[in-house]
Amino acid sequence: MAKYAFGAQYYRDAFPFVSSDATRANRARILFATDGTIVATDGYTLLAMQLDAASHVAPPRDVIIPSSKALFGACKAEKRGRPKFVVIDQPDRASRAITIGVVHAATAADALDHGAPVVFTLCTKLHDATIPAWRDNVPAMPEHAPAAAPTFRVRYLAKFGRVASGGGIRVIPAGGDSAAAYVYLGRDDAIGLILPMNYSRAISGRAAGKPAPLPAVPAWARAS
Amino acid sequence: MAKYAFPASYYRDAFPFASDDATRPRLTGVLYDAGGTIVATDGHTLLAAQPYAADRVAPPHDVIIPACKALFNACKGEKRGWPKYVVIDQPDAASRAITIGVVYATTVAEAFEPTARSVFTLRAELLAEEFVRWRAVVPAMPETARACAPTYNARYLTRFGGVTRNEALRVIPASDERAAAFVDLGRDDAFGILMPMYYAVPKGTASAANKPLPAVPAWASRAS
Repeated sequence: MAKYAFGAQYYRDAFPFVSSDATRANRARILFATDGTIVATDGYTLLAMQLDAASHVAPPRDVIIPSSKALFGACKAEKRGRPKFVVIDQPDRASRAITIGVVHAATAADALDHGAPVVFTLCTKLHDATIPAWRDNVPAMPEHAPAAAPTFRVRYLAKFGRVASGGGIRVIPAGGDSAAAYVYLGRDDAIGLILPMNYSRAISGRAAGKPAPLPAVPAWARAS
Repeated sequence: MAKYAFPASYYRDAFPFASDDATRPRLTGVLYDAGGTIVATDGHTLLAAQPYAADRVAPPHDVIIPACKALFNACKGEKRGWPKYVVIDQPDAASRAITIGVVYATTVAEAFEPTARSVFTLRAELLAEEFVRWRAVVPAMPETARACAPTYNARYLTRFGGVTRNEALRVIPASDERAAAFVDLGRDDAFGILMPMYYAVPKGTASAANKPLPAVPAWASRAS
């Protein structure tokens, strides 16, 4: 039997980053790793969070939790001073069957107690998939901001806005217009990655040594 | 008597950019200038658009149309092949009293016809304030992308999402991380301006220096 838990706000943050596309079911999941990292991605954006010791009890091995809209709903609407935790109960280590509960508790250790008030329960299964090597996709931070102005999908930027501290985001292209960009969220415990739009076109442009040209300011907007 | 009109989609685009702060009355409206340009700003973001000449009848002098939620709603929900126009009727040039109508028409000339099907009528007054000199804040486009990575409020970025073509957004800092940035919306009839979020310059750095880039946390780097 294994029981592990993490702060419900991390599930709430991660859920919008998993794919809702039914044809990409393998991306509708959230990784909870033994080192206390939670990672969610839809292939275009990635959110990775490192939980502090008080807010999680790590699983004995990396697990992939299914994304569930109902569970996401249960993780929302936290009251001040009454934090919620997601508790995952895996009775048999050989089986993927789990029970996911959302409970009110002060710490992750308290959440594992039987007396913790339960607000939501879901019987489901852990995903049987390979653990993604997401760290391979994290670009190295350049020493200075590169001279690039990539095009991004606004919907993806908005997702990061919801998890950023103070709503401010800083997008730092790691290479040029075509490379994945690092999204600084103003938090020590989370990072984001975003792919630019027209990725393949930008790549071919870069191969030809041409960064995407900047647009001109319309004549009607210039001070006359 | 003066009558002027423009496609309703431009009011729909501009409305979210107008300020709802009653202490800044000059920003609580949408400018329609004698050159046919439509501008709205709240001091943090600015949208400027110019409908095509065949689609507009400009006022004889610059006017500020009040930002009205009911008018905004009337401008929404356009059906394919059934464009809507905002028609403003100012019976007395010396008075600010106007009647704003939203009508179905295929051309701007048709929008003036008494037979045009009206969907909304509002009696209001043009704002008496003088609009900000917005062309003075439009930055010059740099020749190449600047090497900087400003922090933006994700809420403001999302606002531009409603007016972009294909949801694609390109933010181009005009000079450094403190200056206004040009927002390319993928349209030739509109563009945006976005102010970065304020930040303090770290002690010991030159006032013109860019904010240092954050480090990739050790838990997210490949080696871990």
